[in-house]
Amino acid sequence: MNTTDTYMLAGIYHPRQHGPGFGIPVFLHDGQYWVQDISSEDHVRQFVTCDVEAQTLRLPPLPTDSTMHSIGKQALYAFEAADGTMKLGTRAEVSTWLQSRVTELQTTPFVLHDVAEFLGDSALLSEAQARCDMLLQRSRKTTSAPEVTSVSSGTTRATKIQWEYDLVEKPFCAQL
Amino acid sequence: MGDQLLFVVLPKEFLEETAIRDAIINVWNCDPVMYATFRRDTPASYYAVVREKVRERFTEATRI
Repeated sequence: MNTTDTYMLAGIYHPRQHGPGFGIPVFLHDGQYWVQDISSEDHVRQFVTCDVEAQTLRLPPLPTDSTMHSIGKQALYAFEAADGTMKLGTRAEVSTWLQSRVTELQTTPFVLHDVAEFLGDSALLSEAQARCDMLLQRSRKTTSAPEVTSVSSGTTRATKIQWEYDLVEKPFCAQL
Repeated sequence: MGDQLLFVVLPKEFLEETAIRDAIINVWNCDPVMYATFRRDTPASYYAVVREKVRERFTEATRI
């Protein structure tokens, strides 16, 4: 990989079928797809290949100079709004755009939480966290009565927990 | 997988999907552990994030 190579924006990958949410800008170079490896200073440290199918990419916004990208440039971020509008730009550009559309995200608290972190807005983060907690709480089905476990099933459960600990958690913890 | 999973670590925005929330919370009877993905760079760069989230959970549960 040469630092002077240019990478053409091929599209935006968004794992969900619709917005809102952040997307991954995917670039094309030498017949391969690439994504940015972003430094803590928000610059492109390098491009790394990625395995993505062309038909899964959303069309990028209208071609601009920013669709040609190279190492050392400011990283590009993408966000897809609920209405399908895609914003692509530097962190500052996407931040400004998001700040004007925060109200649209009130019904999607988990995306709002991501956005609050991206913006570094602690008040918005607290608000989003409260909404996420509320939605998770509401998602728990509370209609069924608590199950009373028999002695034997309780013993089975305890055995299973010990088995899980010995085979799964213990080796994992040993690696930390 | 009910009662076999401790938690599911996943990108935050997936929890906007009712079916995913329901599967994790009510079908698998475990907790979602979320992480932000706005950096949107290489998938491998999230391995450390996932590992840290799992470590936090084990610490909270006084497992380590």
